[in-house]
Amino acid sequence: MTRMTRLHVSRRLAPVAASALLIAATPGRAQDSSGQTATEKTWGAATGATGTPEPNPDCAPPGSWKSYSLAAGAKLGMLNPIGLGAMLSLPGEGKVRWQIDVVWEPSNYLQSYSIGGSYHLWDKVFFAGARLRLMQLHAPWSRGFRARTDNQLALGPEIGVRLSLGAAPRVLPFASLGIIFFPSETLSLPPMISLDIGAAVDLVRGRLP
Amino acid sequence: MAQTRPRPSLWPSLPFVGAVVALTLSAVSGCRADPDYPKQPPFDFDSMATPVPADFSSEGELAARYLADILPLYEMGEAGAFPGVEGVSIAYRAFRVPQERGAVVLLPGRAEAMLKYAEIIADIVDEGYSVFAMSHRGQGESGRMTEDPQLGYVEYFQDYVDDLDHFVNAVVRRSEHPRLFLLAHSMGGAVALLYLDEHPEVWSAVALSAPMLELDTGAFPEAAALSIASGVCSRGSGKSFAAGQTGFNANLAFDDADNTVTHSRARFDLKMATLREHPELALGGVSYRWLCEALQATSLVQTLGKYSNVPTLLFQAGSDKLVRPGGQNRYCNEAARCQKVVYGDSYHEVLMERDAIRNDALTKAIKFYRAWGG
Repeated sequence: MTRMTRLHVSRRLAPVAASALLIAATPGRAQDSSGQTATEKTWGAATGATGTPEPNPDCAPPGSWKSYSLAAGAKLGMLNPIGLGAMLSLPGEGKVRWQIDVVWEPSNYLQSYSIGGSYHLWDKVFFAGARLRLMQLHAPWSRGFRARTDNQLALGPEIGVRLSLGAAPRVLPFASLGIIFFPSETLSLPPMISLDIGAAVDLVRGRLP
Repeated sequence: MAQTRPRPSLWPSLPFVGAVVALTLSAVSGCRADPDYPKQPPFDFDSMATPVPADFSSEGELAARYLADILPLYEMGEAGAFPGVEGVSIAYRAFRVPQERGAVVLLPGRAEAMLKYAEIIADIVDEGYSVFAMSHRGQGESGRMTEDPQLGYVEYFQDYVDDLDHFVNAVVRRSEHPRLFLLAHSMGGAVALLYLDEHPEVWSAVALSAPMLELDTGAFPEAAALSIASGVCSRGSGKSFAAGQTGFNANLAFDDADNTVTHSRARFDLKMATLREHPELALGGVSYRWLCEALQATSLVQTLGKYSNVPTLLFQAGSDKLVRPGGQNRYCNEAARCQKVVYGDSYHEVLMERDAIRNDALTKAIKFYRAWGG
């Protein structure tokens, strides 16, 4: 009688837990005695406003999650030499800033298709997040590609900095450091380290209906 | 009056939703039917009824016997070559024994030539087994794939396995054999276990000397080595020496600190003399591409034990400086019929060690083959 391979739950959960802890460790929403969050002050100052921030796509009125921007970018990396991607920024409420991106990192050896989520810490340029990847250990068009072992799901935490420069179109240069874990039963690869720099440019900005 | 701010509840949970999705997907990917072979009790070598003559080659008489008996026997072997993957010439030698007990396929380690195994081949042939030795691509007597003949390179690790498959089908099984056995060292052990996973029905029993199931990356943590090497491989062909690797050092002496492969001066000196006499057989350090492929392959092989039910004897070198024991332990613990023998004082090359280690390992391998029909 055969049975499916058992999960080693603790081993698989380790990288996930690390990512989750990193996210969970981010400071909560904090307001000072004026009732403003740090971001409201910072962004308010950036837009020349005092007190109540003026509405704009980057800094929506408090209580709103409706503004967004969509950027496209490219990066250079230590592990994968190049990457192309798109990034959705959700800066609403003047406090929480989530960014979600999809990235394709092609090469003649390793390939990665990934989706990442990041959270800007302390309303600053620093972010922490996690990335889920479909890694291909050999390029699918190469002679050495074998789907059963070369297609591997991977995930891990990521930290970095992402700036926002200029007015429309904004340029978002970034640098990030990540760890890639392979929670696989079919492979016992050690974690990989990714180190990237790149930039994205806002293509679409607006508000959700 | 306090203003109520609507807060979306979905976004903060995104990472956790992602983690759950990742867990689910990773559980689904790579699932393979678990054959659930029960672990078998180890073979008791002392209870072996069939005696094995203890007249294997010895260090003391190696120099004299090598020229008188061993080398002539080696040169009498049927030498040949076949086009391997991508047309690379793969050299082999066949030593056919009439009324054989079985045939032993011999796979050397990285950088090794078949000629280095002449002493082993002579001992196995004396025991009544035919021997089929193969030189891996890019080393020894086989063809090279780079301009620098001393660069340890392979495009895909699977090419070693596919070459072995061709060798077994086109050369070894061209004639009938009562049983087929494997004897593989180091990288040859990784190749053997990958092939065994694909074709377990071929082998009656397998003996592995310090199989390369987890590389010792030295001062580099394995994660750093893999990341750096993978980065180089993703940028190009990886056809350059990896950091810290160089060409073959023909002046290496037994007492040098860089000799981390054997405690046997006689066998070390014989190897170096052979390579100085046949410099075309020598191979230097590894390329980035070889490192990328080997790190991936070894991380795969060490997980394959649970799928194996083939009798496997694994010699572990307790003082190994080239491969780590973790991968061997994992494979052997999970394989139903794997049995590990640890030589605490042995460097990496168990079969080229001092007589006490080398001949004990060879005796055990022969007994193991006999226990499984050879």
